Amino acid sequence: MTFRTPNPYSNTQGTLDIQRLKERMAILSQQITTGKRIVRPGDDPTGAALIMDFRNSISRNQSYMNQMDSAATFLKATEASLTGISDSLTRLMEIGTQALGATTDSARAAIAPEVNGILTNMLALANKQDQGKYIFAGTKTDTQPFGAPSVNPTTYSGDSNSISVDVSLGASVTTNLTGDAVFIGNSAPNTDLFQQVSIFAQALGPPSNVAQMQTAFNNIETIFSGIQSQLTVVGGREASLIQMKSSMEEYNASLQAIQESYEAVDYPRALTDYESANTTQQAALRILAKSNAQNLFNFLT
Amino acid sequence: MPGLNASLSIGLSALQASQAALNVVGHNIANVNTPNYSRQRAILANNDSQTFGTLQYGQGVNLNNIIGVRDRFLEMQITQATSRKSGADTRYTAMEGISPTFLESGSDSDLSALVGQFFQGFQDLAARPEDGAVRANVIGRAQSLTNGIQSRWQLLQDQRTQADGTVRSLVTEINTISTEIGKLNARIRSEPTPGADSDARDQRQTLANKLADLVGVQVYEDGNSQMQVTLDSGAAVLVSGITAYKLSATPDIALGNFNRVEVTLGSGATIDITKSVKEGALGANLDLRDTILPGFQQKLDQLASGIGGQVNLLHRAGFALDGTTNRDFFTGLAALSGNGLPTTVIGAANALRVNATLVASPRLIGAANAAGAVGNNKNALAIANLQQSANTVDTDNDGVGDSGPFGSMVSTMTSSMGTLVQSYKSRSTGDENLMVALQNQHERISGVDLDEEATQMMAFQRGYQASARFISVINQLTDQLVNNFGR
Repeated sequence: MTFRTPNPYSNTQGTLDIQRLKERMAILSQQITTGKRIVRPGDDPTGAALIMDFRNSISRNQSYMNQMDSAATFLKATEASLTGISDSLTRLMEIGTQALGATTDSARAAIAPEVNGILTNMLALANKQDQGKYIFAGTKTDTQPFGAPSVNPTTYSGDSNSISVDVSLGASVTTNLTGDAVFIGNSAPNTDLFQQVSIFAQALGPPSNVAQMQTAFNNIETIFSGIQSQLTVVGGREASLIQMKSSMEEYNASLQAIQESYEAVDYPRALTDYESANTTQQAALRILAKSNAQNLFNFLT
Repeated sequence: MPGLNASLSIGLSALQASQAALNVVGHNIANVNTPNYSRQRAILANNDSQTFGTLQYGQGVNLNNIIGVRDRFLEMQITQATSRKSGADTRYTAMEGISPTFLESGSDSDLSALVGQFFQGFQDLAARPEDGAVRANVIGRAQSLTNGIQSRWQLLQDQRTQADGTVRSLVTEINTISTEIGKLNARIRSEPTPGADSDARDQRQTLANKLADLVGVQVYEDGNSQMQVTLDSGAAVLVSGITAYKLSATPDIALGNFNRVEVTLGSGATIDITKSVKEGALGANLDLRDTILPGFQQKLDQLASGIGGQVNLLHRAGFALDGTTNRDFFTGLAALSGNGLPTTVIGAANALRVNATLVASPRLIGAANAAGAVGNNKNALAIANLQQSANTVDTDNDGVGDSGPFGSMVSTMTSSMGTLVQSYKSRSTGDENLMVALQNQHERISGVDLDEEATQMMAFQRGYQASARFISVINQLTDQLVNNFGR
């Protein structure tokens, strides 16, 4: 049997097919011009949610890297101060040894101004600020931690709390050393740096008190080695930050690559698809025009 | 034996029948592009014969009937497919329109980015709790977040209002069409022979399809060929015989002042059909207005209430730069006084605001977990870590968090919106395919084929010419008889 195929029949079908082709071409051209495979959630719901999750992870990691940078800045300032103090102490040890080896009070007393100078310098370094924050004041970063040095125990106005920032989910890095732990040493007697240096300066005289000088000198030596080891701690934290940052950068780069693979349009394929849709459309239009031209009325006279 | 005059009337009957049949052909050709037109056929029948002696003499032809060629079952299927397609189309268009605001490709301002940036603001605050600029930034990001949630909620609300406006105008349109169908039913009921009024049926079918586009309906013909129209759910009758039952839209407090749709019965009583229309533009708009869009609004409420409640809970324990404590970070939630957790999620998205006291003075953000230590960042860290915490979102409105983290909630929302869009799109494409297949079928049966009409035209033309020739022959015979006989 034959089906009747009236003219509107071929027209409806042909028009629908051409509309679909045009829609397909519009979608492809949007993908090509935006460079994105998913423009709206409806294009690929699962992909859209994944892209969103990846984007979140990437930006969270970026934020963690910012935390690392800010921790590194603070640790660098701490390191700079401690290095300065450590250099001062090296010089102090040098001239202290000289003083202990000197034979006259006047020779010993002559060293006193430099010792006092070193003391002032160290105090300034211990009270140093980085971007408006006192480095060694614990969490009381707006308070100058150390009072004027004297032979009495140094007044410490900071607190003993550490500050840490998060550098990844569940991992944090301590960014500060508290002044009391580094310079006063609450745990053992005679570990107060500024007190001991003040005692040493006072013992230089005149008149000199060699025994007191020796005791203070020995105490300072112990404190010095403590500060050296704190420097190592700071250096270690900085090194681990650098390592963490570089591994997080790598991680982020791979996340970005995965996100791209979901989000980015596959150009060769999109362009090929577009070309083929274009060819089909041309053919469909030609056929539609041809089939409408066929009619018995053309042959009637 | 019949006389010459009888032969003349045979010729006349043939001329009349051919001309009438040509008239039908002309009507078909004229309507070749008319939607829903069913081609008509002239049914010619030979006249009864006359008996002369032992012989039966034929008496020519007459036009017995003009019938439309149609398949009623197919037409019914098209009407129902129209309803379904229109329902899917309307839902698809609405959801496709709003979906980009939940995933802005390559942008930093989509909802998920705003949530992330808000918590990263607290992360930055943890690094520099003393810094006024960082504190101001936390406030700025919090405001972007509340504005972002609110503007999306509002967008959904605008769509609902628009859907409601559409419902109102649809009701008016539906009433006009159902009244017209009633009138055509009256015309068809009084047709002289069954099936005679094909044009009225075509018009009625066009109206039925138009009606199906507006509201989900089922149609069938009763014994008198009258079209009965019922809602697709079967909940109410719209047209029965010549009577159209009117729809009405009335604002209803219970629906948030949106319109309730009712059918007024013959007795004057009304049936509420707000929830009983499934397809068509009306069904889709009611579904969007009362179910789909509020669903997403509710998710935004849950998100806003989750972030607001959880941040407040921690922030109350935090200490400001001046050492004060027990402040809310967000306001606008219906919150318990004890811990600041919301008592309900309803309305949270639209009401959530950053505490104005903090906006005026960012120093009062509680970044510390102890008084008097400006470098203390413990509370800022705790708030920043909320972003990753589970059970921060209350999805069943019982006051206890059961979902989360926030970020995955947003991406789930986006993907469920995307899935909806996709499913309506594929439903719409499927219904369109079905419609076109049915329409093609309909065209094959009822469509006008110009080649066929041209052939018919030639046949009837030749028939007319031959009959005219026959009349002229009889005329010559009569002339012979009257004027030349016996000369």
